[in-house]
This record gives sequence, structure tokens and C-alpha cells, in this order.
Amino acid sequence: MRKIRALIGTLVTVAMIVYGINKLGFIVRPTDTDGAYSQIETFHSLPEDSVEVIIYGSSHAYRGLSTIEMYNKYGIGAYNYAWHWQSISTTKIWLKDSLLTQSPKVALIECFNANAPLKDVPLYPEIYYCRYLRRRSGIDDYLKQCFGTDKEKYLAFYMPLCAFHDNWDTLTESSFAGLDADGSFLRKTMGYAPDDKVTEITIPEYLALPQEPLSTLAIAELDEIVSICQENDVEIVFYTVPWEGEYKNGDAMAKYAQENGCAYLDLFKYADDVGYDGATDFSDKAHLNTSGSIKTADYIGKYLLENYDLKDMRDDEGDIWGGEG
Amino acid sequence: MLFNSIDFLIFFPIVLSVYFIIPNSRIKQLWLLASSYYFYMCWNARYAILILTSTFITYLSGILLEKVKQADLISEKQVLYKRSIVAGSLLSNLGILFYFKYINFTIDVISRIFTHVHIQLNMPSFDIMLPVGISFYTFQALSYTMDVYRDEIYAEKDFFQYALFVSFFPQLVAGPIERSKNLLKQLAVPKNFNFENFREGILLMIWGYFLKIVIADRLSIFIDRVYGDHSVYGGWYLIVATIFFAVQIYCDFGGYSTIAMGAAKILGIDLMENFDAPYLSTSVAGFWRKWHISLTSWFKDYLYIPLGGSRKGKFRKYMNKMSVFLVSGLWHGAQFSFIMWGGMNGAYQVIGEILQPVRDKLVSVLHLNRHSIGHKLVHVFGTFVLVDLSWVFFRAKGVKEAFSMIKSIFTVNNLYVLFDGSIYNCGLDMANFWLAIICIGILLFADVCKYRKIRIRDVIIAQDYWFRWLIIASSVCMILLLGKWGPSFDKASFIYFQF
Repeated sequence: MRKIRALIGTLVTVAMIVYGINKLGFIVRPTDTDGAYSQIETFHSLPEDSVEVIIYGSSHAYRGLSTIEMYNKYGIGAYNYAWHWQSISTTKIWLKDSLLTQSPKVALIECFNANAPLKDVPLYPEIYYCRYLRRRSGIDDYLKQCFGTDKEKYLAFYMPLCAFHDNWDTLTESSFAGLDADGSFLRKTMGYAPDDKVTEITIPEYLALPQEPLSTLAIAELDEIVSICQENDVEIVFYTVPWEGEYKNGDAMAKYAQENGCAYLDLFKYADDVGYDGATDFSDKAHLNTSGSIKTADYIGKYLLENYDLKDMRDDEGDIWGGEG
Repeated sequence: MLFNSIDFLIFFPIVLSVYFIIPNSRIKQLWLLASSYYFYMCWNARYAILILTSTFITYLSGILLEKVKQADLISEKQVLYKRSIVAGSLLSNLGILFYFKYINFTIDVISRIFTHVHIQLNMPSFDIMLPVGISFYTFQALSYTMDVYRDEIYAEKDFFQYALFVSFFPQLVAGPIERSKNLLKQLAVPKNFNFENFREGILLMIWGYFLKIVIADRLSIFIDRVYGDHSVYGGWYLIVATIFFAVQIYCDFGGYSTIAMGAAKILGIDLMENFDAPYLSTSVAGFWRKWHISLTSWFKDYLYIPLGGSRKGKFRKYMNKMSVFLVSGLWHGAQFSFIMWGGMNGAYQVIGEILQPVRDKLVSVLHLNRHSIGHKLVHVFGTFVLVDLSWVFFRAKGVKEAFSMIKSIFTVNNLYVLFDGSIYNCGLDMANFWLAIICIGILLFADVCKYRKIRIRDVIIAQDYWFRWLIIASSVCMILLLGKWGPSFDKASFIYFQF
């Protein structure tokens, strides 16, 4: 009897510890990952194969290109499946993930972090929210690349408390709130996050930007993205939106795209054609606001219509964009 | 393999599980021996040869001593042979220790002496990596030789059992330095799983991890910043850092010892207590009876008493004490700052004894009550200050730096840094700083309980089952939440691993 009680006691204690670790790991999480969870869940709540254009990338993507404008002006059915600081490595994961439920014709890949593949990094939010993605084997390869053979980093992925426990002294109300899968806002905007704030910036002169080649690992990631898209009959359009900073990979991306049968729209180069205005089109030094993202959508949408066979979603009654914007 | 690493958290349950599953006692011992060598070889596989050599030499010395005792020899010859065997064991083991730990220091000292008399010598320099734990297992093995010599124990005939005594992994790399009388006989009888041992061992390990990763590793951030640039962080920064260092080294070393005790307890082995609330001592002599007890008692039994102890008059007693503490300083490291540290602690005790009549007179003249709490607190505070001053030499990179820091402590007047927020710019923000203070308070409470002979773990075990579950679960979670660990933290090795 005593032995049984001891065994039960041990199991209960272990269960309490496991529960505590999970709960605490959730509380100390970086709360800016919560939006990514909402983004992922909202995307996968879309009807299957209902989207023809998917936009991938960083905040330059989901804040800088208005899917609503694309639909309203051109009838293009696009979804903005991007998130904060997304590196090209994570873009690859999100691409794979998106193809589980959608069969887009075009992948619009924003290139702010094209030359920032992840290797030998700790667990941090961008990797952390990949726990919510669906494809197990894809994440395993990704983790191997990000973490190498570091056991502690792997432990951090499965036990986030390991990575984020130092956040104990910066908890806020949202730390204790549950993850909100209610992506009703993102559903309305099809993943796009508009921002009406205006900050005056100076758009750099394209020709004055110093140029650097892409790293070997970045090229490997891009190659895999191209390969995945080819296998799934998805056309790729790489693009870059301007901000008040130096984008050093414009030439390298253009060369890569040309060599691999993809398109590349460097909107630093075509800033005047797009009609960007540094005084009105930016919410901060790094991101376009609503006005700027509409202009991006106008320009890229026109390009897509001229080069790809896309359906006019406005012809469909009850389409997922209709009356949503 | 550090105790606070994932490798150990994988290694230990595997060792435990297999150990308790194996039904055969002999195979249990062999499994533990293999695990101990594996544990050691994770640091550097080649240095397993050193520990094996030390084991073999001291094992052989025990066997030879036993044979000499049993041989039909005249007493003078017996004494001569016994002393020769002990000398051989001492010379060979200390020779190995000398080579790995002190050769470069010795060469440097000789060079400096000759340079001082204007003679240039071309002395060789050896690129030697100090094997982890060499000071600890060498002393442990040597104590066995001397115990057999003194007829305190019989020589161990079973080589594997003896090898396990030398290499027993919980206490292998940083003590406690166990005596053969205690550990050998426990290892001779492998235990089956015992839930009470398991429970007590877990509580000990939890406390040890609290000391190490919540307190010691947190304080190390502040101390490293201040000691790393004391010209910028002088005065009260240094005072706070030095106080913190006293706590850090206690929690780091005490934490390791406690984890070792806990791990051994789960295996059914009782290791000796290495710390007994040392900072609550009312004298430096008292401090040294409660700090690193295994080493202090080793020096007392195998150096101080053979030198004559206190049996040859006061002057000889003081000389013996100074010798022991100078050697103790040297044991800690091949640097003058460690020797200085040891010398200071020896000097405190000698001066303390010399001034005892003066203190007694003062107490009598002033009608002070030695048993009052106030009086004891003053002594505790005074002892802490003296000991903490010596820690400056222990922590500093050298004697010169230590003196520079002490000068800064006494001359730079910047008390305001404690009040204007500057103190939170030394690596620990306000939340972490005050968390450290709170944890030190918890440590103090635990030590006061220990001082009053209250074993907190016995109090916990005596509670209802639900309370015990809650305490253990919440302690583990709090340590994981508040500890300094994980991939983003540069794991701090245990301080005493460098010895």
C-alpha cells in the first residue's frame, strides 16, 4: 500500500511539474507571437484552394501590400500569409505549410530578409510560432538548420520555458490571456494589417544603395523555395518594398530571379513608377502605411494581371473577399 | 558534464534506473564504476588515465601496507617499510598533481627570482590543461593510504570497489572529499531502491539547484561586470559585488555539494556535509569548522596534526596553522592571490588567538554579555567582514588587482549609487537585483534553521502528502522560471571545478 501511494505521489508530482512547466512556458512567451498564431489559424480556416495569390515574408509584406485593394481593383484573390521579422528560412516553412490547404497560382515573396537565413540561432519568436504549423517533417529540417546539434535549443522548442523564462519580470496582461484564434479581423483583411499612421521618411535613392551578394545558405533556401513552387505549379514573384534603410540585395535578387525563371520587382527601383511619397505613405521608417500599401497593391496587382492567368474573384458570388474589405 | 546541464539530466536517470534494476550487487558496483568513469571522461577522456593511475598507486600502497603489517618483521623495519610505501604514494600522487597544477607556477616563480638577481634563465613553458577534479580525487585517494597506514581501516582488496571509491561520480570533480572509513564501507553494500532516500535526495538536489542556478549564477552576472572593470565600478559597487561574491561562492560550491549529496542519497549513499551555515560563525576559526568541512578536516587530520598540531607549544601551533592555511591557499590555485587568501585566513586565526586575552579582558571590564544576541551578531558581522575581505584575493585576477580593489573599497565614497539606480546598471536590472536579495534572505533563513539544528527537509517530509507534492512541484517550477539557465545563458561552470 505504501509503495503504491509512493508511486502515485511521484506520478502526481511529476504531472504537476509538467503542467507547471507548460503553463509557465506559455505565460513567459513573447506575446508578439500571438498574432502569428492567429494568422496561421485564420489562414487554415479558409476554404481549401480558394486563394490564387499568397504573399509571404516579413512585416514589410503583411503591412505593406493591401490584399483588399488587390481584390477591389483587380479582383485578385490574395492572402497575406506573412509575419514579423520572417527570415527566408521561415518563409520556406510557411510556404510548405500554406500548400497543405491551398493551391495558389502565384507566390509573392517579399525579400526584406532574403539574405538572412537562420542558422545556429536560439529559439526566438519566429521559430517559436512554428510550433503551430502543421507539417512535422518540415519543422524537423528547419530546427536542424536553426539549432544544429545543440540539445538545449531543441529542449527550448519543446519546452519554451527553457528559452523564455527570463521574461518573468516583463509580464503583461496579455501574457496571461489565452491564445486568440479569433482572426476575424485578419479574415476581413485577408491577412493584411493596415496602419493609417503617417511618418515622414526619405526614400533612399536606388542607385546609391550598396550591393552585396546572397550568402550560400540564403541561395540554398531560395533554391528550395523555387523547387517547392515548381513541384506545385506555383509561379514566383519576388519583390521588395522601400523603407528608410539600405537594401543591399536588390541586384543579387534580380540576378537570382532571372537565373531561376522567376520575377523580381524591386520597388526601390520603381518607387517613382509606383508613386510612393515619403511624406504620406509610411507609418514608420520601416513600413508602408495604408496609403503606401494601396499603391503597392495597385502596382503589383497590375503586374500580376498582365503576366499571370488569374481569375476575377469579383465574378464569384459569395467569394471570401466579397464584402469583407 | 555539469550538474546543471541537459546531459546530466539525461545521464543521471539512466544511471539510476539501470542501477536499481540490476539485481546483482557486484554488477551494480561495476555499473556505478563505469558510469563514474563515463561521467569523468565527458570532461576529457584522456585524463581518465590519470585518475586510474592515482587509483592504482593508492590501491597498491594499501595492499603493500597490509602485507607489511602482517609480515613477521622487527618493528623498526616495519615502520621503515610502511613509511616508504606512504612516501611513495604521496610523492607519486602529489607529483602528478604538482605537474598538472603547479609546474608553470613554479617555473614562473624561479624565473622571477633569478630575474630579480639579474640572471636570465630560459625556462620551458608547459601547455597543460588542468584535469577536472584532480585536487579532489588526489586528496581523497591519499587519505585512504594514510588511513591504512594509521590502522584506521583495513586495506581494500577489491580493486573495482576501491576504484569506485576514488571515482564515485557525485563527488568526483568538486567533493566533498570523502574518507574511506565513510564511503568505502557504504559502496561495499549496494543498496536497493528506497523511497525515503529518493525523496530526501530529490529535496537535496532541488535545494542545490536553487543555490546554484537561481542565486549563484544570477549573482555572477553582477560580480563579473563589477570585478571585470573595477576602475569604473569602484567603492560601493565593489562592496556590493564582494558581498555578493561571498554568497556566490557559498551557493555555487554549496549548491554543488548539495546536489552531490542528493544524487548520492538517491543511490543510498550518505556523503559528508560540506557546509554548516558558515557565515553565521562568530569567529574565523569557527568559520573554518563550517566551510568546506571535508577539506578543512583533511588538512587537520593529515597535515596539521602530523606537524604537531597544538601539542608543541603556542608558537609551533601558530606556525602549523599558518602552514596549513598557506597550503590550503595553494591547493586552491597556483597563484599568489590564493596563497595570500589562505595566509590571511591563517593570520586572522592566529591574531584572534593572540588577542583572546585582550578580548576577554575587554568583555569583563565593559560587563558585556557574550551570550546576548547583539554580541553574537556583532561577532557574526565582524567575522563576515574579515572573511569577505579575504574573498577579494580569491576572486581577483592577482594580488595587485586585489589590493587595488581593497583600496577602492576604502577610499571611493559613492554610497549614492545604492539609491540613484546606478546599482541596477551592472548586469542585473532592478527586478533581478531584488530577486537576488530575496533569495539571499531565503538562504539566510535556511542557514539559521541549520544553525538551530532544524532540518527543513525533515519538516517538509513530515507534512501531509499533498503539501509535499505541492512544495516539490512548485520549487522545481520556480527554479526553472527564475534560474539562470537555458541556451541564451552562458552556463557558468562551478567555481570549484577550476581546482
